[in-house]
Amino acid sequence: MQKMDRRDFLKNGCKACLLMGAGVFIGTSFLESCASIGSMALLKAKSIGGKVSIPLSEFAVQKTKLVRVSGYEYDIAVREVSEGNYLALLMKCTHAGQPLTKTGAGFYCTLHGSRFTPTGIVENGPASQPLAHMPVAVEGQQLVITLIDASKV
Amino acid sequence: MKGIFICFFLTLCLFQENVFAQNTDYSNTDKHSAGLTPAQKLIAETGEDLLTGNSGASSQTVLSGYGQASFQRNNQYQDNRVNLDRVVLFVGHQFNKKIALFTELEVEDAKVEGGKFLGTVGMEQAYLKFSFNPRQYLVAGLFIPRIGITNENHLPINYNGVERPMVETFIIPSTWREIGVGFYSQLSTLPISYSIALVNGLNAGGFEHGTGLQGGRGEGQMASANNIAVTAAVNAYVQDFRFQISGYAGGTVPLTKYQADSLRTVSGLFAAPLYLGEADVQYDKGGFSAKALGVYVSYPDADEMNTLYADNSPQSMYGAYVEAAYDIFHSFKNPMFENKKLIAFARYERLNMNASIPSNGIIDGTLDQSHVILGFNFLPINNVTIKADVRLIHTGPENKALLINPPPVMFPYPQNNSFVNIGIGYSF
Repeated sequence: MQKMDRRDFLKNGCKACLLMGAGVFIGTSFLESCASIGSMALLKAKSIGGKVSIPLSEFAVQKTKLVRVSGYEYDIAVREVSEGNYLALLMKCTHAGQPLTKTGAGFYCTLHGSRFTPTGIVENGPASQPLAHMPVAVEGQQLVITLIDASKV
Repeated sequence: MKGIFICFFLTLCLFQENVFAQNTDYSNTDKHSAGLTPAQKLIAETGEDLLTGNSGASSQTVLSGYGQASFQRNNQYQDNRVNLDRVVLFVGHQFNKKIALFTELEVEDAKVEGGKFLGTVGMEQAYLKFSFNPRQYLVAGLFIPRIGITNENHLPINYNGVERPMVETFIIPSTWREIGVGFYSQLSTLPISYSIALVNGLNAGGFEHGTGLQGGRGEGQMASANNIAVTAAVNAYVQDFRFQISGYAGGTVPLTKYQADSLRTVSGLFAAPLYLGEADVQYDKGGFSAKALGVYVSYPDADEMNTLYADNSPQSMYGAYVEAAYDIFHSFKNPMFENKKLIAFARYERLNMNASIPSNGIIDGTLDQSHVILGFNFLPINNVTIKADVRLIHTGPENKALLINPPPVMFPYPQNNSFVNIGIGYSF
């Protein structure tokens, strides 16, 4: 059996990393070109007086957006449920507070495996409470989300 | 290797301002307000101030856990066993908006008594989590790297069957936890997440014939840091599918250079490396779910480690399984079945813990195994499961050369056997 010394191991390890990186890059490019993967555009926003405003035009093409508020611990998944009706979910697992991962068909907690539907209902435990809904209101051409204290959810 | 440490250090430095910054935009009100988990409410109602850990209204302590008990009948040996497999207590604490603690204390097999081989008490996880932003965080301490499916998600309510998949018990030794540092991230605009971690390496001296990698884990108990390992995973979530590839590469010699030289063997961070590659896919839609996983382990220097430790380590191992399940209650419209699940499932597993052996190894046919598991999981609520299944096993023949001191009378080794399992489990 041929032995692998440290130099060879490092060389092979670097090659493996490069291959993995290339795989991720190619895979990402492929996924980006695929319109039906459930991807979400990220909107960065700032809160003013505990509220965040998003132009309604943002939902013209994609009905679901991920909103990241500066200084806020969790992202917010905002969805146009029907014409003029919006839903804003705090992406915090109601079990142990882990930030959720958006999947193609809802939300997933990598910590203990809880799964939630796109409207925040628990599909799989251990979470037993639905995702927190944040108050939303349409004001002119803006969707206004009222931030809640994430530590209380 | 220094480069890896420097990278982690620089990453920490780069983000430390974010991590330790206090963001208190929102006023705090009643800390025992709605939205608590049942466990939190229970504690809240006792009047104890455990929820805040008495450390300020912006902090929060979470108490949860899981457990499982089982009955197993070994049909060939006509042996019946009952066991409280595990009870785990999870305590998490949010120090501030950026720093949290996660701990899991586990008691396996119900009891531990000094001097007797009974159960174990151990920390399953104990790590600090430093959040850079909602999608990127770093963990440091004893944690479970993302390898396979069950290793990270091992709650009894989240896998089918009383026993965890055999492939994810012997080839991927779930739960496989080590001490180290891990970085977790999600892409902003695509449903892709990834993780990379640096952990202590395996100990070849702990490998035992027939148990795969299990004995080599450090599990946070005075593990050697003379050798280390790197592990990484990439996940993609496409519609109702979840794809993952993960890998592990690390040294298996825990000896110092002085010790290794005196034993005329290799030493170093990545000495006698072991490589593991894994890929899996999960599908879940409506009441139907399916998963498939494959894993391959390569241990090129097994011959040298066999010479050193005489543990009959294999040069390669592999395992794979496929599973399909359907929630029968999903198609029932009656409100009586709402929030209840009756999952029927079938799983086929194939594994070989000595797929190839070095020149100084001894082949063991019993480690070449096929399993078929058929059963039901009933979940009266999402957090409680009652399970029943039958596992049929077929293995290769026994190698009598491995019987060092055979008894005068012994039951012939059955290549075909079956087990009946019944279990209960919970998580909250």
